[in-house]
Amino acid sequence: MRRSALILNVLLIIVVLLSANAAHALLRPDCNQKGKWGYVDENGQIVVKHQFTGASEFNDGVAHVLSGKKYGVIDSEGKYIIKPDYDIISPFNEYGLAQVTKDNKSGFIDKTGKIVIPIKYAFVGDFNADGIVWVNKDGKIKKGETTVSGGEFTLFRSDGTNFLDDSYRTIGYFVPFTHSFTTAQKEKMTLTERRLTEGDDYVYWSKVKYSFKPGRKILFNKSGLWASYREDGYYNGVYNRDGSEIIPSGTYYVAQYPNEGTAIVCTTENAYNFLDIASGSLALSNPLEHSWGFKDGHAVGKYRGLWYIYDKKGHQCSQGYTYIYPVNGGVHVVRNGNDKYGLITSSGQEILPISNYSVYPFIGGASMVKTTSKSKVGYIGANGQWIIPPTYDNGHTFDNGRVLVSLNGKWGCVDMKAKVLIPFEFYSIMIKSDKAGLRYWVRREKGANFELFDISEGASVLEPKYADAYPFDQLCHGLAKVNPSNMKNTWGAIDRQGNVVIPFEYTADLATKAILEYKNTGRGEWSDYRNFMFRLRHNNHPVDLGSTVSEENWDY
Amino acid sequence: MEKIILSLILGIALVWPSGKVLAQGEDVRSHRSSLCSIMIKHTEDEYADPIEKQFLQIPVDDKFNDHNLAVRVTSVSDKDVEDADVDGFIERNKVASRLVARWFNRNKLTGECNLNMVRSRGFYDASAMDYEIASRSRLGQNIIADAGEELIGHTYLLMHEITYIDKGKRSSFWGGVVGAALTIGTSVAGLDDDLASDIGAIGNLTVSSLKGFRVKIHSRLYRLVWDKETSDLFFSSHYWEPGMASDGHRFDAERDKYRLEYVGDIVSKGGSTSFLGINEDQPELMIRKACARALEENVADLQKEFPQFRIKTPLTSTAPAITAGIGLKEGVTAKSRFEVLECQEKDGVTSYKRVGVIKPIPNMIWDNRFMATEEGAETARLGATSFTKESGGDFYPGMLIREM
Repeated sequence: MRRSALILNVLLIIVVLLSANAAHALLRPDCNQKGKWGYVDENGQIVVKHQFTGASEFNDGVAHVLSGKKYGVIDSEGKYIIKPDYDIISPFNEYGLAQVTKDNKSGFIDKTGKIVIPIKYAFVGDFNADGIVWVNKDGKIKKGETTVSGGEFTLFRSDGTNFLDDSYRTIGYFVPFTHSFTTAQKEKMTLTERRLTEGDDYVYWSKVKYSFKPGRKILFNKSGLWASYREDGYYNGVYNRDGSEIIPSGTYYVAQYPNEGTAIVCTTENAYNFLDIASGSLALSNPLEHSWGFKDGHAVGKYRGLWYIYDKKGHQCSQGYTYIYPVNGGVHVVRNGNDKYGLITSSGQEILPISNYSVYPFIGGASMVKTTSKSKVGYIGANGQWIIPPTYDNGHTFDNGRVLVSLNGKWGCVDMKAKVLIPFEFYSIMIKSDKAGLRYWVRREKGANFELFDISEGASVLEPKYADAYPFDQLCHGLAKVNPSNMKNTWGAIDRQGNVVIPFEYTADLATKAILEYKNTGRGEWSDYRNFMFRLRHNNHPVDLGSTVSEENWDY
Repeated sequence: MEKIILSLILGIALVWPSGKVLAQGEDVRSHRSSLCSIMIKHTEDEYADPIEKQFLQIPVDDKFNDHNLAVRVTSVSDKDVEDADVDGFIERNKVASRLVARWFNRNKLTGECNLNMVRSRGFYDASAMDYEIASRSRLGQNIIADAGEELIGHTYLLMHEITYIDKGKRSSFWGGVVGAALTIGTSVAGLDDDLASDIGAIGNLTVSSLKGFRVKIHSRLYRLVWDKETSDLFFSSHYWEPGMASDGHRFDAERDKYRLEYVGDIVSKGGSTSFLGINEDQPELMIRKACARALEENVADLQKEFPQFRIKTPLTSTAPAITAGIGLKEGVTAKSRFEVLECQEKDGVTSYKRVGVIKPIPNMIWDNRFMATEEGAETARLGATSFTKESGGDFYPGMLIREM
């Protein structure tokens, strides 16, 4: 008793907080000289007799009190709503439930004291935005760890009904905005730690970080579906957010979220099949060793060591390859052996037969191809024919019908007919142009300043005055953020004629903000005064309440 | 043109001839108060920096005109803030003069002023206003006086002292376990560097770690003094445009002639804020929501406590239902009562006459609090609060209501 009183005297908040309910607005906890707690009104008159070992402020019309070593809940008249029967009662949450603990078992009760989730769990979670909470039976926090493992997890809704019809060894968390399938595999999960502090009569929680090992994944995608699985066999399912089933759990080793009405599932480890959601039938009589999701009615799958294109009915639509790379622009790069490549469509039709060519991703309507490792570079189109025969030393991908290529150590730009748009005179050309694809920052020599080449003019239109530059139109149409070579680390913005629009006075970050503000406030002249006001708004100069702020920090 | 104001203002008298000056399309001027908010930050608080960052991102309530100054945050370290400290800050830094300067768009570098803000916030028709002022008409005199009384005189400064209520201290009473939560940490794959830096010095914030985040906000309310004496002083000595004979910088030397008067204060109840509607990718929104809700609560309470701070809101419709664009944010409850005002104007002078009383329909009170929609609040979708008539005659859209 003395010990509890000592702890409470040290830890209790002496309050002036007001209750949310006007009827209790003036009650506050009060401790008398005997160390007993009760409640008084704003005039100090006793409303609830000093009888408790501890007392909290009122919130939503109720207050938590400690009687001896047990917690209960009282109303504004001091009557018990929930008798002091618990070792722990948490504040009531937005669902009107409080977590309670008794004899090291936890559950949830409502404001009448009714048990909503049985008080039989070793650990319980917090309700999420969907009103779902996890609970764990017989799990433990292993020595040296700070997370709950083992036992069985399951989920409850805030009305006390089961969300899942089964229990799981591991479980995921339902979030308002879910993540994509692939990133879910890398996410770290946070569990709370329930720890008894030595010498204390209560427990407290803290947050810790914990990584799931590969293979123990919580899967959910952008549509808000999730799948969980059992550690002993990965028999996961796929559910809607309301708990309704799409793919029942306990059936498939792995189940991916359906795409275009078909889901890729594993009947056992490394046995992939195509599940038609509507009919529930599997397409393949011979499962695949691996597969990933459908797109445009086709999926890539591995069968007996080779990769194929499949349709939803499980038919092979291509020959087998050592590897099929992910589709890009409706075209796959394919490989046989270690160094033979070709191109096929997403439906498996051959574009470029497998050969010794080095074939790069199909982007902007073409793939860059080298006939040999030391040969020149050319470009092949979607019909498998050369758009540009092997001509160049190196190149990038097509964009807006233009591609940057190099010849004899110099870079230039050509179109899809190999017409030279930027002559091969430059040490480097910035990959990203303006929105129209006409203006590129170029440098003639290594370490030289940037100058602006305009394809429509066929010549440089701005002199090499800039140590660094960003493409035009990137932040604001018609402007480019630049750093003049004679002003180290000082940035501003120019227009296409090279006129200074935002003065060279800012750090790179602040210049970005200035350009965006210029754009968002209707442009107009960036006058001295406007400059002054902008600087003030982004001035992080600390201001002390006891100080006189210097005039330069005021805008008016 | 504006030079004429100097002679007009001296010896001005309110008269009530006929006619009115209104901007095109404006049936009623529902003048909004203008508000400047400054945060007092306790630097020793665990969450001081994230709170400051989120405070600065809370938008100005659309019931007020944004009258903020460049200085938005002041700080104290390990000290109780007394009213005298706040008063001292306001006085030393001549905050009142800066609020006045803002009204007239005073260029700090040149001293040049204009009436653009007065015109736009007062819905005065620009050409008519200038004409009337230039022609030295009584209407012009009234416009100036009306603008002072209706607009500039309703400029307020709120000093918000925000402190974080330590959840650990709160929860320790409960026996500790507020709830074991399972959530996704911030160091997830694909998390933007920008977002990570947004979280600030706290480290790995998660929505769950911020659930139940509470702040206590002590708001002190001040009102800009704009009486006839102040108005005369400004227009006779401090309003300057190029070409005028007076000194554009005289204002700087006489800033201390402007003042703010203390109205009152309020302390938020420190209630917990639901984390519903908070994206797991943006846990810092929990801080913003807690601060925004506490600020809304304080403003609503101050308006109830201090009539001069109350806003007048126009009725948006009167048939089939009487509705207005206010709700829980303004502290509307089932027990609230509002007087319906008819705005009468004569020669640019505004007056209000009570023509009825209405009260909210209990389950039709709009939840317009910060992030109510994201939270999934049921009445967030209403878009307006519906009322029943308690007394009075016919109402029409545009009539103003004010809480009684």
